[in-house]
Amino acid sequence: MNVILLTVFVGLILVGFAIVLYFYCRASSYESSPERDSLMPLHEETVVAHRGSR
Amino acid sequence: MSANKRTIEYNDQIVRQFMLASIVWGVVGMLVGVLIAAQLNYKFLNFNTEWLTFGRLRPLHTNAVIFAFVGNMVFAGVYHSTQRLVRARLASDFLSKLHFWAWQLIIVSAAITLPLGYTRGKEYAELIWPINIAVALIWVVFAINFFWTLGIRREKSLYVAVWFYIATIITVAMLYIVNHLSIPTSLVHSYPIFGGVQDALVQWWYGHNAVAFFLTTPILGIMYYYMPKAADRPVYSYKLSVVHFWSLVFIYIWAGPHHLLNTALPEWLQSLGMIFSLMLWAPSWGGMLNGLLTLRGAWDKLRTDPVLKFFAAGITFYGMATLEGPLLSIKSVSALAHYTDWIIGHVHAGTLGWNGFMAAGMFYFLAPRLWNTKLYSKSLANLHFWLGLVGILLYVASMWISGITQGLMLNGADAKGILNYPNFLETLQSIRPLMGLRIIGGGFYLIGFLLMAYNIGKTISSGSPVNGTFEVDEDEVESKPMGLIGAFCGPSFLYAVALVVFTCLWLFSGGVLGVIGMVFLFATVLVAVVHFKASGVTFGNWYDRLLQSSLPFSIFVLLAALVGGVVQIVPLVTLDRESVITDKIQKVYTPLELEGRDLYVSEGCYNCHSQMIRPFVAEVKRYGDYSLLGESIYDHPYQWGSRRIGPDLARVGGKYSNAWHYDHMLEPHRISPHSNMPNYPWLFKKSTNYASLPSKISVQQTLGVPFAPMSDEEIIAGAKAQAEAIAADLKKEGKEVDPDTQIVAMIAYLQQIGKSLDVSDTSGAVE
Repeated sequence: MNVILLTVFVGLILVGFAIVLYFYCRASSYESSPERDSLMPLHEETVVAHRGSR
Repeated sequence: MSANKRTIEYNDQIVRQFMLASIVWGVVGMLVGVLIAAQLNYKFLNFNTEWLTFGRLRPLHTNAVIFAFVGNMVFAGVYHSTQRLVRARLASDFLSKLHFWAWQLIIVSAAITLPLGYTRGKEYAELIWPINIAVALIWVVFAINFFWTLGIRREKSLYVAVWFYIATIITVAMLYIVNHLSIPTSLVHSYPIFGGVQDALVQWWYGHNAVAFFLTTPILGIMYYYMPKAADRPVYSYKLSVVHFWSLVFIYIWAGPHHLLNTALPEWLQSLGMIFSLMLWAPSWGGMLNGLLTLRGAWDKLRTDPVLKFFAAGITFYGMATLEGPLLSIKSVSALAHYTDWIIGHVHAGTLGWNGFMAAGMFYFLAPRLWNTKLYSKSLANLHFWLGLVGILLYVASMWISGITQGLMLNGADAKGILNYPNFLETLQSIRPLMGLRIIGGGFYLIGFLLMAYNIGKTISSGSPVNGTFEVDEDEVESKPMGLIGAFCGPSFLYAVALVVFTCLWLFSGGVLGVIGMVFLFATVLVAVVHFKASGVTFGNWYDRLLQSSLPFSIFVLLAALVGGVVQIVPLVTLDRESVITDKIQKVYTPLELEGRDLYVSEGCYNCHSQMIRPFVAEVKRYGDYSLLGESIYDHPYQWGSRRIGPDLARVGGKYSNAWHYDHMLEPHRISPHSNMPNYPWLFKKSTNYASLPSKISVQQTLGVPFAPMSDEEIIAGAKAQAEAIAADLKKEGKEVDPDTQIVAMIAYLQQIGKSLDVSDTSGAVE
């Protein structure tokens, strides 16, 4: 049973830690930004024929 | 193009190869799935042929769809999206080719060895040890190729999809290696180093997390890349993906014991498995919502775009399956659902709905782009979608009803403990129509998949293969990675460690140390706040820099995934197993019984029969006293099973005569009318492999099974003597049998199951 208490306890610490860091994150300036990162899949690309088929 | 720019070409050939392999193996795996579903209703489909029986084909089905269909699909998705997300061609063409061809060779080896009965006898971990080593090595090749590509990337920050790929690669390696630790007895046979309850725990730590880290995290990564791409919208919330990723990786690994609820597994592990399974609901739905909400403002595209249609349905099935999973992990729900078709329905909601539909969406997205053409037919793709959807719903609904029906019938007993349905076959008869419906549902799904294969084939034939390209600025300044020192000596990480250490000190040590822990905890918080405020350092900065440094990031992922494994696995597997057994301890097998057990494993009997009686009135009445931890402690591998297509066998030893088993293995339906168990005529012809026994017993002794010291000659002579005694007994019943045939060894084992010694009885009498 002690293991469960320890687990829940450590879990809660991590949750608390995550909440605190989240607000720090919100308040901070970014080198990058979630907005920029979230656009990554939308990069355009061009194509060339595969060499084996040219 | 300016002088200081050059064009780099992605390696999309490897993506095409993995994608086509996935489609081919998907057809094979699903075809076998439909066949084995039909075998349960129409036993003649076993064709009295050893390599076509349910027990041998079911592992082929699971391994084919997991490692061949989803595996190849994941490799295609990872290689295609990673190159674009990090703006680099795959690091090594040679490693990419080696990865592809060796993986296909592994699949072919599995497709040959499993029907031949070469198996380790653990679900989704059946492949024999040489193939295990090949899988581990090729996984390392994949890892090197992937991380090397991250190392040469031009995009500084790692996008969320890449985090999921990192978690997949690291965690699957850890799980696979630990659960496949074995000692060989020959080129095609080995015993797992863990036995009994330890093996059960390790198996489901692996088995559940094979679902988590092979069927879920890579597909989530694929979702995070292809969903925005197909919807032409950025991911709904990047911040939600941070929370979702880390909580999923940390929590998932703990949930394995929910496969062993109400068994002889120690109670604390069962509770831990249940609690973490319930907690898992939140991050899973974080991912689902993030995926679905990416469609904001683009829902209308669902009407016209088959890719989005498959993605939206796939993610919805993910949400449904991850709600049902925690529900099934509640002990009282598990009491009803475990060992029944409900679990099969749950699994297929995930595999057909989530994996299959996400794969289809990705293939429909990729095919036109990789062959520079248009999709051959949107109508066919739409037909595939609806056939697949109806197929899944038929499958899942019939399995829910079948599972609940069988659960209620098998657990049904009146106040005096009299069973409502004492004949197991009565429950089988009642679910036959539902199993029939499952065949139709699975058939629909397979037809839809075949339509996709045709559609993509026609698409390919109308185009020609092309590779994506990107322009690189030669003057581009390389980013400075954070490095290990930066990651682990960064104030954010150090403060986090200090907070955890001081909190534990405060709570778990009394007196002065506790006070010191409390004081230092508050001091750390204060210092951190002041430091961050004064210096302008933030967690956000640190995390952004961490995302530019793949090695420290990967180490954090490993740590997050390792915690659960260490807390659950290490205490149990390092125990002196005999020391914790207080009541009954398993009687060590004789050499012939051990050989019979290996045949039982080889025939895949565990696919239909459990050997674990749970402490419920109905189960005890039906099968005998509930199973205790010590009664299977020497079983390498454990054979508790996960499904009762047939009755539990934990106490079958001595229940019937040798002649009954003889007749039953030859033609089960003559002894048990309406039974769907296959006939095993080859056991009556094939010879027992006595020569392999000395090596097997030597390995068992190495693993700590207390076999009495015996010379090789004594082992073989003992086995033959027991075989002759059984043959003589059968002869009395009018059954002429060659004592050296496999059926005799099988009977020897079946008659031994459930025999144990009373620990308190110093005379060691057999119970």
